[in-house]
Amino acid sequence: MMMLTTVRRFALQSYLSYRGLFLWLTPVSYVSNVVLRPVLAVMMFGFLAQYAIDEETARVYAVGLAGYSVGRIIAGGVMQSLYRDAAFGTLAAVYASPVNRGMLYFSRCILHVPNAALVAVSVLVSAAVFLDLGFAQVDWGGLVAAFAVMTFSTMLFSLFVATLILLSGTNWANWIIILDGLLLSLTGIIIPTAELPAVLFEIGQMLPVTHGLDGLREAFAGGPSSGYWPDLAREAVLGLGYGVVGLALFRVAEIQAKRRGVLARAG
Amino acid sequence: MTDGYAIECDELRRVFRSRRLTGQVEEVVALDSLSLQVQPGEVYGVLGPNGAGKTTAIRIFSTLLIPTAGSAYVMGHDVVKAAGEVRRRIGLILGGERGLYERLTGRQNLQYFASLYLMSPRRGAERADAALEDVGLTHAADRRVEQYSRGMRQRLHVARGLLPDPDVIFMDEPTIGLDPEAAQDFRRLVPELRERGKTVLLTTHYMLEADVLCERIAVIDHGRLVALDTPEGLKRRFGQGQVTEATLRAATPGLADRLRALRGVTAIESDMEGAAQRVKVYADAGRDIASGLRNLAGTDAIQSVVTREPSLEEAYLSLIRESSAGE
Repeated sequence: MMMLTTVRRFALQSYLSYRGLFLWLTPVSYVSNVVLRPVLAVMMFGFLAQYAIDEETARVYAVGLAGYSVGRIIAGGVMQSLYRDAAFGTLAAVYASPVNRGMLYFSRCILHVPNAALVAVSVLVSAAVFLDLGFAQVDWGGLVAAFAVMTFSTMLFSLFVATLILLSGTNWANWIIILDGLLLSLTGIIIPTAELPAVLFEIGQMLPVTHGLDGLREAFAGGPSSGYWPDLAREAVLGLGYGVVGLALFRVAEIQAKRRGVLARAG
Repeated sequence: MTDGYAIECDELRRVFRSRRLTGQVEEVVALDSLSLQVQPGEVYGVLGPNGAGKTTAIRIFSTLLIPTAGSAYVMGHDVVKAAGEVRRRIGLILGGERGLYERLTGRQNLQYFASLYLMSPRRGAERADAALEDVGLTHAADRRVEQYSRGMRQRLHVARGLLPDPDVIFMDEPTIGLDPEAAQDFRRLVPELRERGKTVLLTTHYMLEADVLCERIAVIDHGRLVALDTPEGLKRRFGQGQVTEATLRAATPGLADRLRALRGVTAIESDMEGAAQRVKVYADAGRDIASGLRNLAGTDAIQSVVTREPSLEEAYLSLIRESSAGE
């Protein structure tokens, strides 16, 4: 009974904080970010690859862009949510309440999962339409698992970055630009990670999407499950690590806010 | 410490440090050795000018700020070492525009905040409805907060503070932005809370509010306690002498100077209200200023005259002037 109440409370916090803090929920913003942006990315990179290289490369890019778009929509949503909780002054209510911090922290990301699913579908469908991407070989179980794991890792990574935003008192809009660039250039979406300089390669290994994308490509090509599970496991462990460190930092951010008085106002 | 007090602090100090562009560290002392005790079930007022440390004190009591030195307890629990225990027992009402989810309705906001106090969704919904009714917002419960007026937002803040049915309620300028009717409703609510055994610590700039609601009032300035008494006690101790207020039918040139020359007069305020002149004369207790005024201005010229004890506002201003002069 108590467990059920806790789950219902978590669901309520997830739903209401999502409605209150995710400002891309207006029809225009939502369609732009969840449908149009991913489709336009497929068109831009896909047609560029077709024109400059070949059609097969364009399809490889398209699968990569599906991973990138999932990471991007999750990062944008989760980061703005936690940032706005502080900006709206509602985080003070959390800090003055007895709510379980871990539960609250993770409630900020869970409802972004459907957006990730919708983005993945948008990319794959548009790639099928514009780039003639075929699905005959696909290991559908592996594909779904790859998207699920990338969604998991980017959610926890985004919470971790959002906590850094809280700690630094900076604006999420600046961080999403940097994160966008890192995901696009270092995770193997366009440029194979093996071709990156050593330092950038190592950075890429620490980012979400990188390992998940390797697994996604394996599953998409219909390779054996032993080919993608190790990559997906690495991706999941990385996400879990960011989740644990992020939660610890969230507690640090609370203590720091109370020490430095950044939540206080004059009077 | 914690001798049965609902709220208490001892030698509480809070210093804010900020680094300038030059690298120099600037320190602002917001609270300077503040000590106070609030009895269970008491409505306790804290007055002081902007920057006196009122909000800082409330933030420390509500676990939103860690003190630099000293100790503070709420219902016997240390606000730093047992912050979780404190949070279960308090409600916090902060003034201002922030602190609400604009895109949610009033009811949804309260349901969310109820969940922070570990209420089940069903219990949270019940408490949200009760709190909305308490503050007269039931009619707008399903409207988005972004459509609320400033007064409605403030009422929602009050509702939020009442949600967990706490033992101790901290109210930081709760009537800021409320229209007179809503402010009056709020002032009716506070005695009801006291009757239900709640302890209320209230900061306000409205002296009438403090006078009517509070059993005791602490006046703080520059982070220090400068006076503590009942409203009557403060008026008696710091409201100097008596005040004679008069309205003259027309301006009387030179009247202020002639009044100032009367024996026992300590200060004069004079301003025009349309064609009429309003004069306020502060004097030592027992002086018959009204007669002196009639002699100087002429009985026919005076529309009304009344002599009274100083108000809490006048006592407060006198106290703050004294405190500032002693800096």
